[in-house]
Amino acid sequence: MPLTMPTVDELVDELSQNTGWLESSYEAAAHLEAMGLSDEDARRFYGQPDVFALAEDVVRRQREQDASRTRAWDKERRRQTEEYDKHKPDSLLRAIPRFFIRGAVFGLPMTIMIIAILLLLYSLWAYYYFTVTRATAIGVGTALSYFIAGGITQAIGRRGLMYLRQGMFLLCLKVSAFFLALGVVLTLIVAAILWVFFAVFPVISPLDRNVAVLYYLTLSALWLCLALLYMLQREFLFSVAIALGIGVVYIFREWFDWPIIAAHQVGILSAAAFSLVCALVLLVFYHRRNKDPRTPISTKLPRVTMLMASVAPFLLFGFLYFGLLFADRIIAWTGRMPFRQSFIWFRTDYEVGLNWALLGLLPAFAALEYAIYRFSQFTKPRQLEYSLKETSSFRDWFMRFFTMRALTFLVMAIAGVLIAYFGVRYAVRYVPEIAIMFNDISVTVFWWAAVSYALIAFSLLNVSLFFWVSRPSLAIMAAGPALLVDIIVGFLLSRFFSYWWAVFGLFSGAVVFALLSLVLAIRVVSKLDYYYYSSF
Amino acid sequence: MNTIRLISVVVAFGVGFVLLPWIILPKPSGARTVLDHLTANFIRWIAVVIVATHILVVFRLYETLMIAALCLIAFWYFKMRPNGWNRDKVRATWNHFTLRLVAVGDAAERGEVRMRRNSQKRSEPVQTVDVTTPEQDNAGSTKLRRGSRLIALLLLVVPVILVLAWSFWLRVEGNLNELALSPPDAYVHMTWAKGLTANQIYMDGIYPYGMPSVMAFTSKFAFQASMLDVARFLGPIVGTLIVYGIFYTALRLTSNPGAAIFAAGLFGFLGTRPEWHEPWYRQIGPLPQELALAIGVIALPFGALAVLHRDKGHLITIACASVAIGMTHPVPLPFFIGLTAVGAFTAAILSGGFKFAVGATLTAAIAGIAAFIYIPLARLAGIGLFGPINNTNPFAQQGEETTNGANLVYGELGYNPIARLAIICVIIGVVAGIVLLFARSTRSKGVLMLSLCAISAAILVLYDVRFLGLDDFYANRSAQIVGPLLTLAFACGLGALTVLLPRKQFLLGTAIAIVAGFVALAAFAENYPARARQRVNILYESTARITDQIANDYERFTYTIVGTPQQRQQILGDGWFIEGWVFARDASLRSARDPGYQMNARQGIPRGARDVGDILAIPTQDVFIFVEKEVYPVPELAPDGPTEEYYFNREKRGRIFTRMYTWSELYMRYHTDMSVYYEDDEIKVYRISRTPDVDGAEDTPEFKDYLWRPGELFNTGPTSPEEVKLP
Repeated sequence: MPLTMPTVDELVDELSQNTGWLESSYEAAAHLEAMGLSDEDARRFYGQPDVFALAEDVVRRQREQDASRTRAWDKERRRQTEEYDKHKPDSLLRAIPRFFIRGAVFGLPMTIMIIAILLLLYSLWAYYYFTVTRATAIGVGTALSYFIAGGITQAIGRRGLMYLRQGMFLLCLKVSAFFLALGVVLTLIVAAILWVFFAVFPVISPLDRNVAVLYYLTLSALWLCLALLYMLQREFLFSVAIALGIGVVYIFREWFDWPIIAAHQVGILSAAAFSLVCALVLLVFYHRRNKDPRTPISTKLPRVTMLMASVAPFLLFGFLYFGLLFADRIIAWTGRMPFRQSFIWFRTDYEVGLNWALLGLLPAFAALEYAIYRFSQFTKPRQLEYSLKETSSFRDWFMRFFTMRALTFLVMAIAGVLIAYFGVRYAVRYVPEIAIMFNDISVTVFWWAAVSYALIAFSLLNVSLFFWVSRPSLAIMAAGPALLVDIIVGFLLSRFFSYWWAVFGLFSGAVVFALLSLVLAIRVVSKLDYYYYSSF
Repeated sequence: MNTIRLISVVVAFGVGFVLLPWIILPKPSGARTVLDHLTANFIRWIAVVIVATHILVVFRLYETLMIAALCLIAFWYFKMRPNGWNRDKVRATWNHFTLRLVAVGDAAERGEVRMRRNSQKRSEPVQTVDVTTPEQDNAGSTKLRRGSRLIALLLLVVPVILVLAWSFWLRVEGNLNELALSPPDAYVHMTWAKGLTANQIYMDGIYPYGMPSVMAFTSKFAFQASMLDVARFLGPIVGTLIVYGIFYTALRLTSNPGAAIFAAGLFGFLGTRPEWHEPWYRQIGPLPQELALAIGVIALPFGALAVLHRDKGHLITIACASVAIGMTHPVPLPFFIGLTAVGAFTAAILSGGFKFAVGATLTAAIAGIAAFIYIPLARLAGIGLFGPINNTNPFAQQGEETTNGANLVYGELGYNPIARLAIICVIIGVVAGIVLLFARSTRSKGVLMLSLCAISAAILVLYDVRFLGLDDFYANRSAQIVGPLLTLAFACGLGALTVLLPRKQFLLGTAIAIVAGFVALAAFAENYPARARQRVNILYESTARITDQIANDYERFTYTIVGTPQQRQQILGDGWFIEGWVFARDASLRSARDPGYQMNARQGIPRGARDVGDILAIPTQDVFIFVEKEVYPVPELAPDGPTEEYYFNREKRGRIFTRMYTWSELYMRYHTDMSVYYEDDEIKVYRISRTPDVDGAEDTPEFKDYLWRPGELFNTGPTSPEEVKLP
């Protein structure tokens, strides 16, 4: 029997049913060729010079014939509904408690640490009875550990999360291991440089030089391992690790009567090991559980150079961000004060003010987490909802969304600061250990630091948008000048007036960070369609 | 360890005052050679450092980080931007670099990178180097083949380095072996330098802070060396700078390296001669007058050079020199202005360019006067003058010795055989200068030679300072300025040899000149040999050494030293200190006795609530008490203050140490927390180590009253520990 080709109308029906609305004759031509039609077929059976001419005819008929048009749009609507159902955002009743709890979980580690120090007079790396010289050395080591590990944490978060979301758990494990190893090597190199630096420049007590390097090493290991849990979005395990570490410190200190520094190291390393094991177990479990045959399992990581080049901006941002958070402390510890035994000299009142301010951030973190997650949840559905001709509506929707989240954040930040202020002032009456660390300087630093941290957290909202649209350079454009302003203002004021004026450096840096990131965020949101499209 | 500290300080000075200006400052427009470049920038930089230090300290910003930031900014503006660097270029360069790095890294990972072997033989053209001085330009430049470059370098550089190195060694040798600073003023400047690093200025009143500024800046680069080491070794460096200044001035104005070496060697090797009127102890101490002299003599040729070359760049150097001198010590300033004017106007008379001569003189004068602005500004801030400055009138008062007596500290007044020899040298130099002047190819050399002769003549006129009618103090100081400059006259004499040197054979001429220089130096030394190198100490070397040892061994601010003011200055910023006389006044023998004896007193018969008997009211864990068993033979000074009354009066000094000795011996007998930390024939150091009662120590009035009541204390009692008989 001779081969019968479908008629043009049958071609139109088939395409309308299978692919929906044909945007152009080129799309039609692609589908016709995928169906096996060639130029020869077009000439022989349809009287058209080639497939493109045939495609034009198909498109014209789809537009003119009601049935074809209806069928095409029905297909489009079905597909849209399916996609929408796949990416349906959580309802408000479900989303708000879930993410506020997640945000609160962020503050749990800090809460555990504070409770520990109040009850036990020590926590994972702090000890109430450390001398000022020792506290200085540990403070320097701690700040540096954040600074160095911060960039690696960003890299792990970026690359690891990318593979995680694609279901490539083995690759996620590989890339995490790579960055973990890189972080360890970097930490060791910096530790060696630090040790030599302290030997040549006695900026801290020479007797505590080794203590500073030791805490730097172990805390860096802890941050690197906790970064894996953060990447896996297991914030609760984060808190478990901290609690476990403190528990280990307790055991070695109280049961085995170890010196506090040794007990701290065991506790910190225990917490790090727990985090690492948990992350490994989770990733292997996910890998084994994943049965999707489309997911490749034995792929290699990109070449190291390419990998590093792709995460370099995130590394840089991490350094800048943690530099912004900690520069003011180092500047204050080296600022003008009536007495110092070494060039860097820990100031308890300044530290109390800063940590107090961090407490007030907990509600703001919750709002931040909520905003980030809801933003990512709504992007796909909104993209499906609006057509190409409705991009301005698409942008307007997100602009309103962004504004509402910013206002929510502001309210939560203010509430958090007030709760922290009055709460701690109330607690001071009953906890003498806190009371003796309080003075006017703590209170002043608290207020300025609270505002600063709130602004920085707000900036993180904008930065998460930049990362989401794969524009890390925008984050660096905001963080770089902020750090510079922080250092310059803090340095000058802390020398000219007094050490605690360094908090104005933090404030200035935070204002610059917030302003720059806001301007850039508005720019992105006002062209969100373009940035969304170009981010993939 | 001492050698390491010396190297550290020398390198620090080199980095801070030679390397940094080379990197940061633009090339002076008047610089014709590398030596000119280095020298002019050194002068400019020292002025920048002194002024910037004052400003930064006032704003409490004097820190290494701030200095580094300012250097970077200056580097950007003086070197980078003029070469076309801007933000876009930086960004583009950074992007290019990172992209290249990524490309190379990626290619390496793919195994596509291969090392290239440079197997091509390059046939290089014959390389030439221009080693002529500007004055030889008229005669045509001499191009040397590559093979002769090394010889030229050796000829020009090595002898100079040898002279400077040996001069430095002669000055530093004593300081290398002793920690006690000489002269005593060095302690004051060291203390002020420490104050600058702590952002404090005019700690004891208004005084030029040029020397402390230089010390503080040097200390920023001196790793493994303390401020004491900087003070110890900066003195010889400054002394060597005077030698270098003589060399540079003679070289630039005679164009004769042999004459320059001769003149430099006269002061460098034979600096102990009394004819230079400059005591040796002043050449090895970090003293402001000597630093100002060094700056002045280094900058001396720029007046004549400005006129000859019609170059405004030299005026900037003169201005910087004047500012630096004015902010370091006032006495050399009028001499610098005057001698610069003499050189400039002589050059102008011979070659024209009076505008530049006037410019040079006015620049030096105005900049010098402007440098004193720190005085009214500090007075406005309510700061008084430094106490010992009580004679601001340099001229001898009416009714005083009519001979304008000027009893020199070192050397004698009048024209001695060396000075008369210098006169002859100047005359020879004038004749040679005139001969050079009339030959077209050497006209500029003649101008400079005659300028030097004019300067030397002025120096010779000023050499016998009596005619200036100055107060004795200022006459001494003036003699100390003019004396070393007498060596320039000798440069004129040997510089006359330039007339006879073959002009077309540069290497041969240079070699002859240098040999002649060394021969002349040897002949001079044969007839006028060096004298003994004298130091002026005011405390035992062991005291300084043990104090330094304690500062190195103990953590900062965990110890207290009881001793002399010099020890306080030595440990300032590192440990606590109690004056010996305060301790001797307050520490009662009762508190040193058997603690068991005091039990009854505490229990029921309190006698004097202040003295509880078993508390040493010093709130540090370790206390070191320094006692001189043999009282140091200090000079006797008028009791203008507590330091002079108690420590520069041998009897009172002896009584103080005797009381301290008695107390310490008694305490050691009845307490187990005291031991002898160090002992030799001269001193004994006791160490008390215990857990201090900090609150109790702060509650008692002991050791806290530093009010000086003239003549009330230490008027009786044994004056030596040997006289003490312990129960």
